[in-house]
Amino acid sequence: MNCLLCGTQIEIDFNLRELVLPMKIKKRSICHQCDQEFERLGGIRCDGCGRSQKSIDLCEDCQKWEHQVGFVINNRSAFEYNDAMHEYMKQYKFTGDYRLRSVFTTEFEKLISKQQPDVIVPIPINKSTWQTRGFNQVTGITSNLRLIEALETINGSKETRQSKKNRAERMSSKQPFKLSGDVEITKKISHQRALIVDDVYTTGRTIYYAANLLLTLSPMSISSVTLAR
Amino acid sequence: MDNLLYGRRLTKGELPIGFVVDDRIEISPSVTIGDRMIRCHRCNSMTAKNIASLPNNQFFCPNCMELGRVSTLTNLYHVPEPNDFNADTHPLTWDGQLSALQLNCAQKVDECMRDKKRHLLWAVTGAGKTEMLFTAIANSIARGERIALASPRVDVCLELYPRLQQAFAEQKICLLHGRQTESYEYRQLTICTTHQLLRFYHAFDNLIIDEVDAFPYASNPQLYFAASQAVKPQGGCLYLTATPGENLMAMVRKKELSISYLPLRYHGHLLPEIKLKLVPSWRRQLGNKKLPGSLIQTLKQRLKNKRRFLLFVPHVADLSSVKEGLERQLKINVTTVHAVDEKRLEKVQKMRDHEIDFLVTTSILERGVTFPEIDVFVIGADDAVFSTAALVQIAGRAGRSVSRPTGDVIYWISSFANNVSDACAQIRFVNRKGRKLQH
Ligand SMILES: [Zn+2]
Ligand SMILES: [Zn+2]
Ligand SMILES: [Zn+2]
Repeated sequence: MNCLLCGTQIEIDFNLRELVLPMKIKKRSICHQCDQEFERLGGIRCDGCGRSQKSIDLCEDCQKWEHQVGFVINNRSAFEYNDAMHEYMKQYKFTGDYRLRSVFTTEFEKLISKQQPDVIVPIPINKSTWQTRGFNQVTGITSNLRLIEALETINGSKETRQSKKNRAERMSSKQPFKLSGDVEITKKISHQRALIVDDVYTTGRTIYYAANLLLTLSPMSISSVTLAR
Repeated sequence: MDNLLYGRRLTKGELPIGFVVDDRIEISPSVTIGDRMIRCHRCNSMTAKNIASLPNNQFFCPNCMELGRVSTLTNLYHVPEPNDFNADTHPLTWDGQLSALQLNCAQKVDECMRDKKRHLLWAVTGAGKTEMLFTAIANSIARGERIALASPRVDVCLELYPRLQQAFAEQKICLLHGRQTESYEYRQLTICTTHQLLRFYHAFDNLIIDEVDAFPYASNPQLYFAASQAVKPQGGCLYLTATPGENLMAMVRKKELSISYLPLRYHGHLLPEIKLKLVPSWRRQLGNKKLPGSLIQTLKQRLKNKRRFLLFVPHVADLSSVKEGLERQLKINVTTVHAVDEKRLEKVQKMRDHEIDFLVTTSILERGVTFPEIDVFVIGADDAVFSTAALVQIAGRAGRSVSRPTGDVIYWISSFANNVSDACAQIRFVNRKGRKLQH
């Protein structure tokens, strides 16, 4: 098997435990070298957005959110959005290499279950992305989890890619989502611990829009997890 | 923008925004779904469904994504090649001279392209094959044909482009490769990497593929497909190589390709033949930072006589111990260089400027880089990292100049492996043909 990122042959390093329990052998989709390029997040972080900092106090951005919308979302991200992650996203999302969806599944799903959510709500993609890319990058990664697709994109909302906008443009963008029209779906949110999942946390704008809508369904709590930030 | 699709097949994503799809445009699926596999119509590869799957029973091709993904969500857009050119009847502005042998070969190439043949020209390294193409290309242009000169290697394309542009000064040549930002232009003459051929469909009346044996073309059926698809059904294809691989020779035997030889170098001399020295334990010795005595003796002699040389080693990891061993045994400074060496260009330049008399290197210098009047040595030539073609190319680094048309080529080997004996046989074969021409 070759590394999905750099193409080199992956050497399988069996450790004793794996030899004893052959069922445990984890199929690795990227090589050790590529794996080391990714920076796992941990340590002391902002209690809101989850960025690494010296204390758990709300960072300036989160204070602004608190001021603006009246609440702060507790967000956790698995990886720093560094060069390696940028390249990964480019290859996965924009080139559309759907094989890459499994690279971080285990770690991402672990982080999600650590938050002990009752319902998991993915950020949706718009219709034109479905027609060109053909997959939702978030639900691709979280293939083993049951997701509640309570959000939809608003048709005809402007289709500029978030990543092509600067911070000010992102912050001033309009609500891109609406609640699903299916009451059977939306009623699953009420009185539950809801968790929003997305690929990248940048300004928080997307997640706060999603949270604003979900709040109208009276969940017990709302938090979020993203792959990178 | 009208001519963007002439002789090409592009996806919607590759077309400019607002491109009007009129009824001249032929639309076809880029990926079709079979029982267990999907087939890509751009690169002709088959992929298992579970690997190529997208949600909602859609599929993509993972094998040609460098050109932008194709999938069951995308169609290919194509307009048949109309040869919409104002053909120049005398496009050649080159006024150089060909030797009698080169002239002979140039005429053969001209005939092949006139008759749209599938032909292999086996010309030894240093035969001067680019110049031999000029007349044939000029005549092809004058006939109003569309022509491409393709190579698997970007560096070969980058080297060919200015030479062709100078030889055909009035022609605007389109240059295409993966590392560029210039946009595509519809031109009578295109120079591109073989990979870029995947975007063409029945475009060329004549396609010339240079260094056809070079990685990645040699072992890549996808690119053979690209080449055959880029040429018009009645078009011609000329393969140029100094070291034909098994694929090409099999096509020659099956009479799918005609063949001609240019077995002498531009100065009329033969290729230097390879001398072999058997050193079964050189690897173990190298572990103790020691090199075989015969190698040390050979190098000492060269250094004494001020004869410059290249010493090739199999792996980047070998460079440091070879350097250490040589420095200890020869008491001189040793410069090593490899493909991703940051100071590679600088070191090569030092060699050119005679600031240093030799380089220890991995196979990366095998093509393109030439130094006059050098000898060439390889330690561990039987290592699988050296292909037969690479070994022939390395031998071809020696004796490049008129001032010293011969040079020593010595390969130290731990055993007689196929790559080595095939390389020796290939050189002996062309030299037999060459000797007949010399007399
Ligand atoms: Zn890798
Ligand atoms: Zn924060
Ligand atoms: Zn393909």
